[in-house]
Parts: sequence; structure tokens; C-alpha cells
Amino acid sequence: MTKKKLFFVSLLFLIICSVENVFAKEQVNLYFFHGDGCPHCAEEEKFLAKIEKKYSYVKIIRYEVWKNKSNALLMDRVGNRYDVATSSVPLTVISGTAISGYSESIGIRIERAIKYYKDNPKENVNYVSQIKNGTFDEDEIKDSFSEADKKTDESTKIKLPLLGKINLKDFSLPTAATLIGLVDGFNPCAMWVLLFLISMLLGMKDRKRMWILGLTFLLSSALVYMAIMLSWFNIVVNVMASVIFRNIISVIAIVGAIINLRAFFKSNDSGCEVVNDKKRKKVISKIKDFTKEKSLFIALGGVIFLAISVNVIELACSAGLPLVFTQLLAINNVSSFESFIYTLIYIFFFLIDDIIIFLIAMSTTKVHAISTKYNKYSHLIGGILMLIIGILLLVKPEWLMFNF
Amino acid sequence: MKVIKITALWCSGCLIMNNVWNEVLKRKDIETISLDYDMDEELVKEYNPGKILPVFIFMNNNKEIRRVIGEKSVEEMLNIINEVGEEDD
Repeated sequence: MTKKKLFFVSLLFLIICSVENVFAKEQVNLYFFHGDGCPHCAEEEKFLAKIEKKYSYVKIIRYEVWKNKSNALLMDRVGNRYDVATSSVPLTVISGTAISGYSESIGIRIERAIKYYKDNPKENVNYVSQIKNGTFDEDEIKDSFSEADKKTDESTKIKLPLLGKINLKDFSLPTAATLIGLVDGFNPCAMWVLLFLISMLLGMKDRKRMWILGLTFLLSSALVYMAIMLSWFNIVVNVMASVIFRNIISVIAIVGAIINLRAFFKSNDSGCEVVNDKKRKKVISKIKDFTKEKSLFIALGGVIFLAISVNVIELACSAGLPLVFTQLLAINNVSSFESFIYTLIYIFFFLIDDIIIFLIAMSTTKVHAISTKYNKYSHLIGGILMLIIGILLLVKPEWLMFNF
Repeated sequence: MKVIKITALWCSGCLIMNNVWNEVLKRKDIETISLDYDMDEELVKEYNPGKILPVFIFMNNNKEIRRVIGEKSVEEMLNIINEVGEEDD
């Protein structure tokens, strides 16, 4: 080989190496630790298949850890270095960012991390392959994506007098809980039972018994509604965390919105609609029976049974508001504790009109009711809310994810 | 002229209208027969009240001359009474 030829071969080699280097820099490696048969991993697998098609620069490296022991060991080592729990799968690692579990909002976070490392190639370091090859010698792993995310999080904070710094994101779910709970509470379906119960209680003349039975009814109603909503939330998160299911809920929300808006435009006369004769008579005779009952315990049993049956049956009457709310919690990927707190806020505002009517009746020994003219507007607000949430769930679910 | 008032204990609109009617009775002397939708079922059926409560049926010589359904204000009820009275003459 002449000197000239050697020079050109060397030059070509250098060019190829540098081109490869450029490609290597642009490539974003995503390490996917998963278990065969794990439902959330299967969901993420579907999501990653789309990501692979959408972004040609993403390379997905899959490690099955339930059957393959060496992969499980690698996941443990990665977990130690990244300081994340490795007791459950899936675990997704992109450069310095490790993300446990999978849900729709996590999917969005993964996609944002991919874009971040693509746009910031200097931050894109292949820690996992270093850990695998034993060449990892850094003091700590730098999660620059999460750091950048925190900074954007700061931008959603506003400073209010007296209250100080408040993050707007933190207020979205409590506001939704308050608003949807209030609208659901104005539902006349459940109110009639309370009014009849109070009328019967006021006839008893025994104030202590009135308080005990009335409060038991309100508390049991809250517990029953809460139990229904939390179990629904668990079903949504664990069994039906799929796009198809979300679409079904959005259709239910839109149908509910149409029913509510129709009720708003159709009702000219304010007043009470007479509900199902048979059902009403049954409830009325039950209330009469236990308010006449001499034994307080039997009366309490009657009140609790009434609260359970009324709330279960009347759930259909609220036209899907609790269903829509639990779906909202699910797509925001809230923890069990958070879902409990948000549901508690919902229930409080759901019952607030009942609590006020009960307290006023007890202190004035007269039933004061809220005009049925407001029912019309609860239909309007409920209809608009459900329409917005229903359409967003279908078209832009990420707009409803306040906490990602 | 007499008025048949059909209400129910469980109906918030009826509770509001009971107060309205009491106000009206302070200003006008009208014979009123109060019926409860559930407790006076047989009697209520005779008047065919429909599915919205409360119902106020204005009667003259046992003939229905006007029916008012749902919530109304005191002023609205007084106006209706005046109209019915004029028609009656």
C-alpha cells in the first residue's frame, strides 16, 4: 500500500468513525426491564412499539427479569446505582432517568424524557451499558431530565398574598373534586330521601335520636359512596387501564352530558319529578318503619340499610359523574392515598348541601329546602363539565393529566 | 273559589311552595285543601296530578278552572289568583 493509499484509507476510517459517532450521539437508548406475563409490562410493550415506529433514533433494549436470572441481577445493580426499587416491573431507564411502573401518564413522561435526551445529547449518557460492562466509575448518576422538569414545575408556581408560593398543578385535582362533587350533590335523586327522612325525624320529637339517626344516614351515605368510588378507581387502574376503556368512559361522559343538557333545555317548570312509584313507596315505608321503631339499634340498622340501598340505586341517576371523576384520578396516576384524599374532598362537597339542610332543620325544627330552580343549573354545569372532560378524554387526554 | 294543593314531604319545590302559599294566605282568604302525594294517594288520584309536583288546582263549583305546576313566587301566585278571579266573574 502506497503512502497515498494509506492516507485515504485512514481518512475514510476517520470519517466513518466520526459519522458513527454522530449517529451514536443522536441515538437515545431506552432500557426496558420487564416480566413475562406482567399486565403493566404488556401495556408498556404496546406503547414502546409505537415509540419505536414514531422515533427512528430510539433504540429499545429489552431485559426479561422474571425468567432470566442474569437480567434480574443486572436490574438489581441498575436499581442500586439509580436508587430505585427493583421489587416490581416494569422499570424504564433512559440515560440518567429511571422510571418505575407504567400508566398513561408515565408513558407521556417517558416520551418527554426521550425528546429531552435527543435535544440535549450532552446529557445523554449510557449508564446502563457502563454498569453492565463494569466500566461505570461515576460518583453518582445525573438525572438531568428530572432536574429540568423541576425547573418547569417552578414556572407553574404563582405567589399569592398570605398563602405564599402555590403550584397551580397541585390545585387542579382538588378543584375538579370540589366542582364535580358539588354538581353531583345537587342531584335531586338522592335529596328526596333525605328530605323525607328529616320530615319523619322532626315528627319524633326526641332530639338526641334525631341527631343520631340523621348523622348516621349522612355518614353511611358518605361511606357507601366512597367505597363505590374507590373500588371503581381500583378497577380502572388495575384491570381496565387501557385506551379502549378510557374511550368507553369518554363516550359515557358525552352521553351523560347530552342527558344533562337535554334536561336543562327541556325543563320549563321548576318542581319535583315524581320518581318511580314502587321504589318510592318502598323507601317511604322503610323510613316510616324505623322512625317508629322503639329499639335504637334496629332503627340504626334501618338507617344504614336505607343509605346503602339508596346510594347504590341512585348512583345511576348521577349520569356518570363519579365514573368520570375516578377516570380523571386514574389518568393522573395518583397513589392510593391521594385517590383516597381526592375522593374524600369529592364526597364532602357531594354531601355539603345535605349536611347544611340537615343542620338547619335540626336547629330550626323545620325543613328548609333548596329551590328546584337550581337543579336546572346543576344540569347545565354538569352537562358542560362532562362534555369537556368526555371530549378531552377522547382527543387530548394529556390536557387532563395535571400531575405528571 | 277553592284551591287543591298537592305536595309531598320529600319534594324540595313543595316545601318552598308551602311557604309561598302561606304568604299568599296572609293576604288572600282562600279555602285550601292540602293533599299529600303519598299519604292521600286515593284522593290525589282523582285530580290526576301528573309527574311534576307541587300542583295547585283552582276550582270553582267543583270544576277545575286553572292548574299551576312547579315553583312560583308570591307575586306570581297573587297575579294568577287575580286572573282566575277575573275569569270567574
